[in-house]
Amino acid sequence: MLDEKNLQTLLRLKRHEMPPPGYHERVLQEFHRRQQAELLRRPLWQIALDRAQNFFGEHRPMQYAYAAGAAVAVALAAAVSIQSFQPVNSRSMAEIAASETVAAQAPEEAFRAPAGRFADAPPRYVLDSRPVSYEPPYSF
Amino acid sequence: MKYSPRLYGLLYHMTSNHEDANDLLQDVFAKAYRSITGFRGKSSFYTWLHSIGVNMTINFLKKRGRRHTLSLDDVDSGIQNDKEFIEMTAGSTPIREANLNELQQRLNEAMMKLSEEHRAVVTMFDIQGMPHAEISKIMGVSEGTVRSRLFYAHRQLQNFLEEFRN
Repeated sequence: MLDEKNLQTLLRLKRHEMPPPGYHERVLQEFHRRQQAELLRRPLWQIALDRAQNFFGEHRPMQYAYAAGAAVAVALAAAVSIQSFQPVNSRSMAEIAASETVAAQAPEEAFRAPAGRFADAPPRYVLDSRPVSYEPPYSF
Repeated sequence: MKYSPRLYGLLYHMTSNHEDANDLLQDVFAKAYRSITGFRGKSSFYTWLHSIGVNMTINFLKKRGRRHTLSLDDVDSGIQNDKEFIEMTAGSTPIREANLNELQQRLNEAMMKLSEEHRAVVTMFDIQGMPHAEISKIMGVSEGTVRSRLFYAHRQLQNFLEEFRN
C-alpha cells in the first residue's frame, strides 16, 4: 500500500494537470457569449422568475415583512382618519349640483319650507331676518 | 476572471472531465453574477465563489450518477521541474516505473471512486493546498468533519492504488 506521504505527493502532482493553453483567456469571452445566448433563448417570464427567486433567496423575507406590515398599518390608519374627519351629513357634489339645478329651474320650489316636523312653523328666513331700522346706528 | 484558474482546478479535479469542468465553470460564474448582491462579505469572495462551485459540482455529480468518462487535461511541462516529481521518479518508489499518463489516469479513476464530498475535501486540501479552516467554511461543516473525511478518503485512495506497490 502507498504510504501517506507518497499519496499526498502524488495528489499534489495533479495540480500540473492544466486545460489547453489560452483556455483561461477565453473564459470571459465564452461567459459573455453564453449570457447573451441565454437571454435570447429564454422567455422573458422565465428570466423574471429566475431573478425573483434569486432575489428572495438572497434576501431574508422577514426583513421585508416588517416594512410591508408597517406600510399596510400606515395606509389603514390614514384611511380610517380620513373617514372619521368627513362630516356625517355631507352631501356629495352630485347632490349639490342637482339641488342648484332645481333651484335655478323653479326658485319658488327651492325656497319652499320642507314638509315634515317643521311644516307648521314659520319659514326660517322670516325668523332670522331683522328690520333695517333695528340696525344699530354708527356713532363716532 | 482572476479566479478562473483555481476554480477550474477545483471543478476539474472533482469531475475529472474537461468539458464538464468548463460547463460548470461557466455556470458557477453565471450564478455568482446573478447572486452577487447576496455576497455579504462575511467570508472572502474566493471562499464564497468556491462554496458555489462545490455545491453546484456535488449536485451535478449526484444527478449524473455513475455515467461519466474521464478526459484528461494536458500535464503541464512544469511538472518535469517539480521538486517532488523529481524526487518521486528518481528514488526507489512504487510509482517509479509508472508512465505519467497512466499514473494520472489511475489516480483520477481512484478519485472518482470516492464520494463527492470526500473528493471535494481531497481536491481542496491535497491538490490545491487549502487549510482545513477554509475548507470547513466552503463546505459548511466543522473542521473535525473535514479532517475525518480526509482521513477516510486517504485510506480509500491507498486501497485503490495498492496495485502500484507491486
